[in-house]
Amino acid sequence: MLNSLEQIFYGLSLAVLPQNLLYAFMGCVLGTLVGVLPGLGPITTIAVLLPLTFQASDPLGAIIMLASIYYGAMYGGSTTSILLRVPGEAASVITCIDGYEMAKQGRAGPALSIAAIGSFIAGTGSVIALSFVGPAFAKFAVSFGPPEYFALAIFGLVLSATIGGGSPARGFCMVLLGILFGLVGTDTVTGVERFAMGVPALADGIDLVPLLMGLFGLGEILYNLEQKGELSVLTSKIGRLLPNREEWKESAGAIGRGSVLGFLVGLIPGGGAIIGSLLSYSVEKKLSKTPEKFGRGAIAGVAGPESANNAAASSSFVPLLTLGLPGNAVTAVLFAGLLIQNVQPGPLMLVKNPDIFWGVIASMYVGNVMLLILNLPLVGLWVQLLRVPVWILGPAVLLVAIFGTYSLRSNWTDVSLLMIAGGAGYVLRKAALDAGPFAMAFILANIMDTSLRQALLMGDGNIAIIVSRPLSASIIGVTAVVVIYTVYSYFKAGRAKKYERPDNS
Amino acid sequence: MKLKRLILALTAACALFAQPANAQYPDKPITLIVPWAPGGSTDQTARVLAKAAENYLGQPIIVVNRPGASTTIGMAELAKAAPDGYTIGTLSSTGYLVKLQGRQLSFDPIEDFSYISYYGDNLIGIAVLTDSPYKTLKELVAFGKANPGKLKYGTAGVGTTQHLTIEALQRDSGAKFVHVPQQGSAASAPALLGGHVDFIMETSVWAPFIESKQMRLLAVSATKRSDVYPDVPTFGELGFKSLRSVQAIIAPKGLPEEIRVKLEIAFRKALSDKAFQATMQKLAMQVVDLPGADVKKLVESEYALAKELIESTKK
Repeated sequence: MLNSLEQIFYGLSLAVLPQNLLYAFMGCVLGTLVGVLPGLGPITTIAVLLPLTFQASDPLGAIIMLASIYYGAMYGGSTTSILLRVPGEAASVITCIDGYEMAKQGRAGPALSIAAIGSFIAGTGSVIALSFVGPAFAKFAVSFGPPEYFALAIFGLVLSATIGGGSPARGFCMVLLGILFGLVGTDTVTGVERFAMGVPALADGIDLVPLLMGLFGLGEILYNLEQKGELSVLTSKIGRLLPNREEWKESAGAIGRGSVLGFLVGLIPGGGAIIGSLLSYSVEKKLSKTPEKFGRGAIAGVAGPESANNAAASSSFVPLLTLGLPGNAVTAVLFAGLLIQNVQPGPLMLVKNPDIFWGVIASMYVGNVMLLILNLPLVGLWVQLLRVPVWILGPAVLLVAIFGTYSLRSNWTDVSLLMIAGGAGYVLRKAALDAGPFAMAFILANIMDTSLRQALLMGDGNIAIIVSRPLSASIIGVTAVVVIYTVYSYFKAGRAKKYERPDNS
Repeated sequence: MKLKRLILALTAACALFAQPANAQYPDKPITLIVPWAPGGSTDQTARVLAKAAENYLGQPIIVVNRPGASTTIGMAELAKAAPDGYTIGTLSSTGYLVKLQGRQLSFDPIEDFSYISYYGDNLIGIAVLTDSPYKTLKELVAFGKANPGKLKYGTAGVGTTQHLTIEALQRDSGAKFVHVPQQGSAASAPALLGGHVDFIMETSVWAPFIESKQMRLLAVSATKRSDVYPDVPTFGELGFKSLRSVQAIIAPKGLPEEIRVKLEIAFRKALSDKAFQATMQKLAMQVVDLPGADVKKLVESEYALAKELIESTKK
């Protein structure tokens, strides 16, 4: 313990050097900015900046900056989710559900504030946990093999059906649809293309960013443009900026649980921030005394997931730094950044580059404080966006989304996808179908499909491998309980009463 | 009408300027298409190599990343580019192996390109956990022969150089292993660490774990032993075939020979650059110098061998 403290102080002594503070600050500002701009995400930003770090004379500074872009984007991502129902980055999809509802009710201020505060608490908590027990958790990360990933994906799919305000039956249909679209692309096990229709850009599957941007953001803009005349887009009243006492009470537990869940999921390579926020949302809905409020502006539905995705962003540094295993696309780019600086992430990094290891971790404490100071005052500014009429805001967002999507891979197919997804999002919105379960299932489909096939290969074709390994068996067990409980409460409450459609106007 | 005239005038002007330009190639920056995402091994090595080649060409080389669809998006763009020496690209074995997966491509991955130079091979090797009972490739093969289908192995994916080399090993030795394809090289190391597969055939993702003594390297598929792992035998020494993990510089088909030669000289001279060699070493890659004409022959023979292997796995 004392040893850890010493090392953290050593790290802090490096992180507070003026040039490193400046790097962290630049990264935080940049991260917040790209998090806010729809379509532009941390992956593109870090990838674009990567070649610039080739010549950097100071490896620690360069890595501090790249890392702070990552967690900075997690803060920024919630802003447009709440205000416009445009997920700034993928992990904020869940925040759209209740955050946007809150904004419609004139509670955009509290939603934005709680997102920033929750992110701060989760981010800091996660870094503390990381500093003390991080390296020990590395073993947990590799214990996740194909059977465990499959079980986790199934668990996620079951939870997906129950997010949003609709009935589980409707949610279930959207989940199936999401799986279908998630299967587009090259099959991992045979190398054969599925549903790609000869389009090269589809060989890797439908890209997540244009899909989410279109389905949520553009769909919502189109829907709003239709409501001509009155600016019913969002209520023009803005209200308080900070949460009231009741909202605090509802959020506190959610932030705590979200932080722990996010931290654990972030440790698993391939788990990532998205699953963390999905889990947190479902847990909050299940634990809530007023589950019917979820999907209609429950603050816990913003506080939990936003905390979870920040905690996961921090803890994903454990597999990255101690095992050299990038858990998601962003950490994969960071991994390359480390290699370029001649730092080999992996089991020996603590021995060979303690300055980088502890410097980066300590800079995350500093970065989280910067982000809170940066983001809280901005809440007042962001809510003013709601005053902008939809016929100006809509096209502006569309433009940024096109730009952001194109910047991903400089590929026009992705832009066409954005448009198609936008049209689909509009139809779903009109039909009062939730895009949330669709998006979650889309993300989980690939994990489920690949891990099932890998697990079967490992188990010589016997499905028993999934229930014979303790970790995957426990996840399957929990899933079964959730299914039984959901079906039970669905019938007990009577479908008409409990699952009335929320008013969509 | 006005616009049309303007376009005509511009085209004429371009043609006029293009003529003498050919004589003193290059007189403007050159674009190098890397069909991989930024930060990967090809991106890192191609960038330093391009930087070194700039010195011999007198013009900057701008690296652009066109990732996706197993390099075929970037390769298609390169195939369509004008063969004027101002658009060149990198070739990895993935680019032609993907055709063997039955994928419809808008270009021929071998015939539609001119070959400028070679620059190296990825070091691919078989790794097991340190506490694994197999100390040599021979022991592993013997077990695979006695217990067909018992051992599972991971690679970056189906149809990759890594996978096909193990297919060749099985065909030539009679051993039988089960392939559990992973989603990319980075996923293979955790699969082995967690004990989800028995061995992996991978690019240097095992390197940090060899150093930390968590993994053991049984053999490498390279033309000669690696300087970093002088004790580890090559597949060839042990009597097994292996495929090359090609890294080359190419251009669209129809590149004028004098331009191709200029590029070849520049890129082959660049191989002796210190920064380039350091980057290759860091990624456990071997620098290999080959003339452009030999690169095409190498690619053709690799393609033929891969095709043969894939057909034998289908039986």
